[in-house]
Amino acid sequence: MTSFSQNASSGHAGHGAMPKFQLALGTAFDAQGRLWVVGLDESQRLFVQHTQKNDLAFWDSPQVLDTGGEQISADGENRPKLAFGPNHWAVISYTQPLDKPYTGRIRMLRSQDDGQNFSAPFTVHADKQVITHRFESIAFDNAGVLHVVWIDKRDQPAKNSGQLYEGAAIYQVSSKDGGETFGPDTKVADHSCECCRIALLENKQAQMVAMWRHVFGEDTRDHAFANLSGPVNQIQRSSFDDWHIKACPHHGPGLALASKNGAFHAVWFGIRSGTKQLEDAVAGVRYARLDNHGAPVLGSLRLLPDSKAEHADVAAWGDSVVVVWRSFADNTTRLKTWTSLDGGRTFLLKTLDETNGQNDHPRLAQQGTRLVVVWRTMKGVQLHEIQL
Amino acid sequence: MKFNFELLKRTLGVGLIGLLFMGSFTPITSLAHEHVDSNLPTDVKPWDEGTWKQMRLNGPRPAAYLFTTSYCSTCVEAFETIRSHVLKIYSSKEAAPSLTVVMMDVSGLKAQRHAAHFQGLNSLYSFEGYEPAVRASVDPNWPEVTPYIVLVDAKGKLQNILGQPSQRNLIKWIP
Repeated sequence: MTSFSQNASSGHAGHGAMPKFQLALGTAFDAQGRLWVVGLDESQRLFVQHTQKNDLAFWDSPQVLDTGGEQISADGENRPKLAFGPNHWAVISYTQPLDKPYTGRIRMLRSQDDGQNFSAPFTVHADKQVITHRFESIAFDNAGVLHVVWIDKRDQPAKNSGQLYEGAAIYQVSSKDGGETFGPDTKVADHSCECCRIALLENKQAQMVAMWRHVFGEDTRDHAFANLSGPVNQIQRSSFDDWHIKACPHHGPGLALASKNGAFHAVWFGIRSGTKQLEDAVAGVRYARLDNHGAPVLGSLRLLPDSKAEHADVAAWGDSVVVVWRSFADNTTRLKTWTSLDGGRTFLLKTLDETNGQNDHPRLAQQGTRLVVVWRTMKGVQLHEIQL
Repeated sequence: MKFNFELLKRTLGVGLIGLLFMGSFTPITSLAHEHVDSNLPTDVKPWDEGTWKQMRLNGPRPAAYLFTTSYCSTCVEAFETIRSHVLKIYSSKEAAPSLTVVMMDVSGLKAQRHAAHFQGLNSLYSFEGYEPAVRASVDPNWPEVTPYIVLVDAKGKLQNILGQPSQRNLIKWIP
């Protein structure tokens, strides 16, 4: 632990040429019950590491993956991710920032042997312009189809065209062979916000759905929801904070399947006021249940009991719902949970952990009733198992 | 169904430590040789938990501080809006207010390269240390949203702005 902290801190010691240590991790369970993490080490190399089967106490050795030295985004909302499919498939994705600012491409490594070996990275989308392709999310559906969604700026009008286009767009591709080949890039919706993660999961009807921060009208940054198999721009507004701002909130939503009282549990950050003056606004992370179309269920909206809450994630199983987030106060960042046993009607607040150093956003990894909070700090990767 | 909050706290320790010691920490060499616009500030100064206090006491007035990240695509417009206002009022560069950009997520040459967006800036900083504490030292109510702007007028009065500054903000800052 001490060695990790000392080594990691060297990333900050040499101000100037030294890059900052990027802590953002992706995490997932594989079919064997092993918890995996993917991220960058202190030398900015992509690595994966997993626990032993059904035992969070023991980790196998980390595996550094060959990405040819390309840059990898692993900060804040833009983190490497991994997903496991059928046929021993595993994939890792990340955004590779390009030299031109705000540009990037979605890269992927694939495995056909449960993550023992990974391919060289390749680009997922057909569009090869040096523009924004960033903030991807990935998931396999129950039929084994791999889905990738991301934020894309190919529809931006030329700078001197005089045309206005708010935000960016959400695009998607899918693969039926574990990432070996992909279908065409297709647009989900215009006018997404530009720098927030996208929530992606399969609904009860075995269709992929996504929720993201969206620009409604000229500058209202709320959230949109769409069925990825639906027509372009068929979206449902999921939040009504009416946050008028032309900015980058860097807070994407979290989404989980609900068993009743709605179809989904959702969490997001927003400032509910319509004013830019912070002192007048009600900023915070909110929770609501959404119906099958992504519309909020009447009476389910709640403000998390923490005015400093940031970067929340949510998971659910049966009537149990867990919301996790980080919160900074008194020079300490705390890891907190809000749990419900009645489908999101009432919640209990707990503090799980704390740190006085740099830390990642907390993430939830779930496999059925197994739920683990994964939080990377300068001390290492902290795991908190919550038994549902 | 019942929650059991007997937390099985585990730390991914040994393996990760092994990984971290597998290679020494080295800067990205390609950046070290990269051309950087000679019109930009030649150094990237550290902005830590004490910097804002010093700026408030001893910093230039009037001044504008734009806090941004390398992925904040709406920040360029905010800077341009501020700079356009300054250019309308001041004809002499020497007399113009100080325009400072503070990068929150990157430092060194990465920050300097990114600053190419902010033509006309006078000082470039990057966050150093424990990010939430540095952020809170500027404003404890600042959520992790950018652009975050502080306009300091000639008398030292502050305007804290999330998002794009309005004309009202700018006129109040420099009439």
